[in-house]
Amino acid sequence: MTRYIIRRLLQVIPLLIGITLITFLLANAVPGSPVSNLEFNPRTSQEDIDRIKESLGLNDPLYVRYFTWLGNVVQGDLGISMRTYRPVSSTIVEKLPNTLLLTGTALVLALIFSIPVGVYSAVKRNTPFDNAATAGSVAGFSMPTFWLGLMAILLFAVKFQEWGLPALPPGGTHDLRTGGGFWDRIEHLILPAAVLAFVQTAAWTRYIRSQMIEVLNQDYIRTAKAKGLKDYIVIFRHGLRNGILPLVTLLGIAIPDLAGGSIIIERIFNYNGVGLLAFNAAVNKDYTLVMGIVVVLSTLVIFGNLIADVCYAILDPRIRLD
Amino acid sequence: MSEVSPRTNAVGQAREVNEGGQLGDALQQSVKSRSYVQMAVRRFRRNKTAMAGFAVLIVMIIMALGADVIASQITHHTPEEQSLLDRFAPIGADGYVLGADDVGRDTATRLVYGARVSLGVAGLAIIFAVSIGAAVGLTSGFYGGWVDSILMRLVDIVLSIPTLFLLLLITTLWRVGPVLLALVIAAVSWVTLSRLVRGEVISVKSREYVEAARVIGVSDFRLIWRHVLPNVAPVMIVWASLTVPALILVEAALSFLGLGVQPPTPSWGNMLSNAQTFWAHSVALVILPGLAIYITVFSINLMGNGLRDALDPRVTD
Repeated sequence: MTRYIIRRLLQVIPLLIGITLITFLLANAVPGSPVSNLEFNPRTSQEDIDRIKESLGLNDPLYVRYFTWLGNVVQGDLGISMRTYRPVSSTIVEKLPNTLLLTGTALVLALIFSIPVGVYSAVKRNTPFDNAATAGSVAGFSMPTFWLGLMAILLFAVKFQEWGLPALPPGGTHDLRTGGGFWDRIEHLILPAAVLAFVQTAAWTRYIRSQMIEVLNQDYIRTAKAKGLKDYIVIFRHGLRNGILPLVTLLGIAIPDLAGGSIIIERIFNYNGVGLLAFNAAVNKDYTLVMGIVVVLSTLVIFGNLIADVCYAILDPRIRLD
Repeated sequence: MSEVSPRTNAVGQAREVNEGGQLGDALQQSVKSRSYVQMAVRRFRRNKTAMAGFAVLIVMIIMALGADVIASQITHHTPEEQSLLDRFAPIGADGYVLGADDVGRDTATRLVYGARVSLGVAGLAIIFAVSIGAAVGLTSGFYGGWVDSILMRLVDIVLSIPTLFLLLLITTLWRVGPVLLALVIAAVSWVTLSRLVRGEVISVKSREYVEAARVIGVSDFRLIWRHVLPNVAPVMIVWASLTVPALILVEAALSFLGLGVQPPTPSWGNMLSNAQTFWAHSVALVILPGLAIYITVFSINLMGNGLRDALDPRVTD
């Protein structure tokens, strides 16, 4: 197992190099340079511009600049925001907990809803429930998140308030006047997390259903039934454990989707996280910040996948580790 | 393809009546003589939900292509024409079938032109994506070795960057028009296809007919083109039909965020984004573009599921 983990860790290195390289090359393929706007300033002489270029290392060849930048990134220095002049890394670290809370909650919500529905569909195959669940999952899977988010705000925040029902807050992470207690934060989390979870739930329900159907057709399930075990023991002890095991790797794959979805959700709900940060940075053309976010999130995704793979290998002894 | 001879039609009906009977078995053998494509078309046609999705998609495409005709003959507005007296005209108001937006532009006309942009970008993107994905997958699977290793590492890298963030970075750095946007979307979405194609190619290339072709000295290019590609095509078609909806959503999301198709060109995403500001005035403005996206994506998904079932008899969901 240790060898497997070490080997997987070594595989991460070329990935990280590739991601930083792509990000760096994209940023450098843009016409102009960080000092381009100085050239339009009549009070800046050409000598000054040349000196600034030299001191910023802009005259170095591309690969030197890449390795300089990479060296800084490895040490946790992602440069300075072109808009706020604050360090990119600390700006991201500030917002990351909110986004992790949001995506984590969405993940849990999606699991809570998709596992029972998927399993029940598989057990009651081709019944009205199963057909409704299958149709519902295609319908849910097709839902544009941003539209669903707007509709959710319209109904649960705006209309509920009009109708005098207990309404949810339309956006933000907490109440700015009170500073937000525990329940206040939960209240602000419900709508964005539910909307973010919605599409994943629909996709996973289908996946779990087909996995469970496959497992329930196995010989050991028939054996378990034949020896007279109760249905629920067969389904939960023998079926479910094997049926939801592949979900571990699926979780790893879902992380980038959830992260991507957080841009839209955080924008709609004005939720103060990395997604909203990335959106604002993109609008402001603050490309050092966007670069930093891409590098940080991709790294998180890679390690998320790594953890998922290792968990899978631990949980399923049938996986060969060579 | 659609020319099903009377004989096979009759066989089809007889088979449904005699399912499981001896006659059915005998007839099934004559069914087997039909080509793979014919059988796939037949399976697809029998799938009612898939056909419904297909029909809706056709209607959407006709509306997108005939946007000019619809604008001049039915709605009598151009997508840019403003009328400040008719701001926020409700649905069914005089001259505005689906109402008007904040500067009095006709919503129905703009939706139809939006269909052109949304479907156009997604259609172009899927063509680019299939080309890149197939080229990489075929090369990687067919040649193996270090070419394969390098290409698959590239796939791993692109897969681990969250798509929307990468798109955000690209749209931050460059201002992209609709065609470039399609290319950019394709550039981040071909990876899963190349993995699928690679797997298929590896299994196909060890089959006897490929060996045989190789033995008689067929060139690599011809071998891939004539013997490998047709066997990989079903995977590509299914992937494409199930990915188009995702691409429509990505384009809409980017345009919604203001980073995709730029106003005044109407796209469903930027119409929604614009309407968002005014929903105290008109809720319909928010509902309609979203509904257009949802219906389109839903129907293509239904069609894609049908295509998967029709093209891959092994998959019995």
